Amino acid sequence: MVEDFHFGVRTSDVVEFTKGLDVTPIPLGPAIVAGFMNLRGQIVTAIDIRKQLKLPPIQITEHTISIFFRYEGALFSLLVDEVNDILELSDDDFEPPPSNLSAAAHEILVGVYKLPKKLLIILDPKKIVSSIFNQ
Amino acid sequence: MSSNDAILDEFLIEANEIFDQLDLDYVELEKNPRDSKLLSKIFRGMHTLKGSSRFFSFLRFEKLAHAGESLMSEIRDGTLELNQGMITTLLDVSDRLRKIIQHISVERDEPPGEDADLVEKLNAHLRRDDIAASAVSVVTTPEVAIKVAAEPAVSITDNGHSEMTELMGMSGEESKAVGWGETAGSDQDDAEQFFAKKIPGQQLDVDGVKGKASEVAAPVKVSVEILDTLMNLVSEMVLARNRLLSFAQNNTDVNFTGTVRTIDMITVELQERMMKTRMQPISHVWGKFPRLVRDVAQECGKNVDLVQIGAETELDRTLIESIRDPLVHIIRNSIDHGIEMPADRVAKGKSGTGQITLRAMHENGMVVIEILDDGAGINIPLVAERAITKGIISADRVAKLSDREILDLIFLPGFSTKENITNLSGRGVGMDVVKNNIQQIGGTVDVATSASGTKFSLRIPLTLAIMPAVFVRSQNQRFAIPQNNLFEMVRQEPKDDVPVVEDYYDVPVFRLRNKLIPLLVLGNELNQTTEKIDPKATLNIVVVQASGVLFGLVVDEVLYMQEVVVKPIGPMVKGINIYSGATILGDGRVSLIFDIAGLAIRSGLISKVIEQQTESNKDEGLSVDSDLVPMLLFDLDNIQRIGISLDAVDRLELIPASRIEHRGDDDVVIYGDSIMKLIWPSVLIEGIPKKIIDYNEKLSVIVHMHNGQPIGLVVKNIHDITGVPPVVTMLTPPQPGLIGSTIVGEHVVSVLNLPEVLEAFGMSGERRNTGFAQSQSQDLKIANLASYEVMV
Repeated sequence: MVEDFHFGVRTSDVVEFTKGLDVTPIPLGPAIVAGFMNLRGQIVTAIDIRKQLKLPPIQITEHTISIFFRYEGALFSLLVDEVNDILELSDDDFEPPPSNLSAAAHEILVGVYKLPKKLLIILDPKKIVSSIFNQ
Repeated sequence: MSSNDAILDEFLIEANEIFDQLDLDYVELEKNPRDSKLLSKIFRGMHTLKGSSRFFSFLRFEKLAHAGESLMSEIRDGTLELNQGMITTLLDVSDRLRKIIQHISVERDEPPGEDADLVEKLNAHLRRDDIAASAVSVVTTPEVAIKVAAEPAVSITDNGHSEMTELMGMSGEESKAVGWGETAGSDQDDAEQFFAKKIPGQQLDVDGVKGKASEVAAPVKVSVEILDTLMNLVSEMVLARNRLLSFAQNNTDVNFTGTVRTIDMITVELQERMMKTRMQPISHVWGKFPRLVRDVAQECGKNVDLVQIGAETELDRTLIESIRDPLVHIIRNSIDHGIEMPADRVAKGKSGTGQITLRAMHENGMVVIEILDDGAGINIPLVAERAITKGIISADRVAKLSDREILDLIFLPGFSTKENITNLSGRGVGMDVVKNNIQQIGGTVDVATSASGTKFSLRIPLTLAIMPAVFVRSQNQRFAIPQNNLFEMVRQEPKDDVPVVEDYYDVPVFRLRNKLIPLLVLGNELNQTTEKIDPKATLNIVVVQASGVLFGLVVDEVLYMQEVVVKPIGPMVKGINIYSGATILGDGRVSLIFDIAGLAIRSGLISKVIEQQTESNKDEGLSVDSDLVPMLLFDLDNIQRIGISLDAVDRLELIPASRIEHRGDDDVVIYGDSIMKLIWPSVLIEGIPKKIIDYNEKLSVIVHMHNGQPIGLVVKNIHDITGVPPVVTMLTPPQPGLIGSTIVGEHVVSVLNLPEVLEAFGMSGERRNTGFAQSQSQDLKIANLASYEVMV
C-alpha cells in the first residue's frame, strides 16, 4: 500500500521483501531514486513510487517495507508503506487499466483486479525501472 | 547423452581456439611464406579439426577441413608455392568452418548443405590454376613481427569443464571414448601434440615473454561464475577483516591480537592474488586484430601493417570486452579513412604500406592504449564543415573554436565525415559510441592528428575493486574519497584575524603553504545546505586532485581511512558524474564514493578538467574577450604568477622525483617514448641554484614541445588559466627570462620569455609546434636523440 492506494505486484516479479532496511540517500540523484540499500552485500537501487505517481515523497521509517526485484541483472527495490496480503487472484477478475489514468501511470500498470471492496492496481516493477531510463 | 554433450562442448571450444590461432598464423604466413614451423603448425591445426569432426560424424565439416588440409599439406611439403589467393581461400575456409561450428553449438548438429564453392577453389589451387595470382608480397617495410603475448596462466571460459588433457590422462578406455584417437593412431598423436601446445613455455614463437609463462606448469580452465563468486567472497572477507582490525585495536589480549594479525596478513595476500586472477593480457583483445587489419586493408585496396607493442599489458577481465569494440572501430576508421591508397602515399613520400601501431602500457594506475596510424590525419576544416551541415553546431560558434576543439567534435553523436558511408565505418554511429563505451568504464579518449597521421589515446583505470579511501562526513552522511585522489588533509584555523578563506575572482580559495587552492564546500555542492562557509571559522579541508588539478573540499568532519570494496552503482545514477561507485560499510550501510574529477567539473570549478591537454577557454571567471591572450599561470620559488602562453603548453604533469635520471649535467625523465629534459626556470629567472630534490617529492612540470622534443619546465606550482592583456610593461631593471609584467584583476602577472629560457638551457632554433610528434619510426627517433645530445 502506498498512501491510501492499494497496489499489487505479481509474486513472480518479486525476489523478496523486508522491513526496516536503511536507505542511503543520493545527493543530486534523480528524484525518483530514494537511495541505495544493501541486500546481503549487493547494492540495490531503491525507488520511491510516490514520485512516479506524483505524490509527496516517502518518509522512510523502520516500518517501511522494501520489495526487491531484478531488472536486467541489477537489483532494485520499491519502497512501500505497508504490505497487506498475498492473494491468489483469478484471471476472471482481471481487467486492463482504466483509461482515465495519466500516461505515466499507464506505463507502469499491468492492469486492475476487482476485489470485493476496492480495486487492486497491479504494477509492473520492471516497467517502472525502464520508464525511468527512458525519461 | 549428457556426457556426449560435454564432449561436444569441449570440441566446440577447442575448435574455436584453433580458428583463433589459425587467423593469427595465416596472417603471419603471408609475411613469412617459407616459415616451415608455421606451416606445420597450421597443418596440424587443420588435421586436428578434421580428425575430431570425424568422431562426431560431422561429414560436411570433415569434407571441407580435409580439402583445406590437403592444400596445406602440399604447401607444407614444398610441392606447391604459397600465394596470396591461397591464403584468402584458406581464411575463407576457416570462416566457413567457424560458421558450421556456430551452428553446431546451437543446434547440436551440422547445418545441411555443401561447400562445393570453397572445395572447388581449393582444388583450383591444387591444380595450379591460379598461378597468375600475385605471389605473397614479401613485406619490405621494416620487419615488424606481430608480437603476440604468451598465453595467460589462467584461461577463462564460460562453461566449467576441466581441460581435455585431464580427460586424456584417464584410463585408456575413457580416453578412447573422448575419441580424438578413434580413427588412426596418427590422429591421436596429433591431438596430443595439439594439447601439448596449450602448455605455455613450450611453443612460444614470441619475443621474450617467457618468464611469466614458465611460472605456471599448465593452465586451468575455471568458469567465470566461480571466479566472480570468489571475488565477492574475498571482498566480503576484506570488509570483515577491517571490522576485526578495529576490535583488535583496543584490545590487550596478545593471543587475540596475534591471531588477528595473522588473519590480516592472509587476507592481504588473498586479495592480491584474487586481483591477479582477474587480470588478463590485452593480447586477448588484440589477437583478432592482425586478421582484421588484413581483411579491411584488402577490402579497401590498401596495404597496412600492424604493429603491436605491449600486448602483455594486463587489465581487468571485465574491461577487456569493453574495449574491444572501440578498438575495432578505431582501427577500421584508420584503415578506411586515415591511411591513403598506396599510390597517394608514395606520391607524398611515404612508404606504400601504411602502418598502424597499437601500444599498451601501464601509467599511473591507468592502462594507456594508443592507436597510431601514419595516414593522412583528420581533416579539421572538413570536420568543422560537417558539424555545421549536420546541425551539430552553428557556423559562428565553430569560428571561435580552436583546432583541438574542432577535433573533439568528432565525438559527438551523429557525426561522420565520409561522403559514401562504407559498410565498414562512417555510419555516424562511430566515435561517440567509442567515447561513450570508454567513459562507461571510467576511461577517457583523446585524439591528436597531423598530416603524418593520427593518434588515439585511451586511458582506462585499472579497476581495482578494492581500494583505500578516506571517509568524510558532510551533514549527516558519510562519503568516501578514493585515496588516489587524496593530496593532503588540512585543518585550517584562522590565525591572527587572517581569514582562512580568501576570494579569487569569486572563487573561494585558501592558502596551502603559499599555494592558492580553490575550495568547494561539499555540503553546498550536494545541495544539502545553503549555508556558506564562515571565512573566520576553522575548517576541515580535504585537498584532492583530479588529473593534476588541485582543489579543496570543505567537509564537516574527516572520519577515517579504510579499504573498501567498490561496487558499481548502476546506470540510473551514473549520469550524475560525481559518484564513481558505492561501498558497504562495516555496519551494513551504504556509502557513496566520489568521482573527484566529476565533482570538479560539475561544480563548474574548472569548466573542463585540465587533463593532459590544455584548453584555450574557460566558461566562467574568464572573459571571452578575444584580445586577451590565454596563459597558464604558475609560481616559482619567489616569484608568483608567471604566465606562459597556452600555445606553448603541451601538457601538465606531476612527475615523481624518483623518475629523474641524470645524463651528464642534465636531468631527464622518460616520457612516453621520448626523453624529456627537465629545466628549472627559477635558475635563470630568480638566480637561485637548483634545489636538491627529495626522492619522494613530486614535481610540477609544464611540458613544452620544442622541435618535436618534450622539454619539462619544473615549477613550484601551477595555478590556472587566465586571459592576459597583450600589453606588457617592461620590467626595470629587466629580469632575465621575463618579458615584462601586466595587471590581471588584482594581481601582477609576469610574462615568461620562453625562447630566452630555452636558449639559456641550450636549446635554440625554436620552431612552431605542429602539435603532433613526427614519425614514430625508429630511425628518426635515434636521429633526434643524437642531435639533441649534440646541441647540449
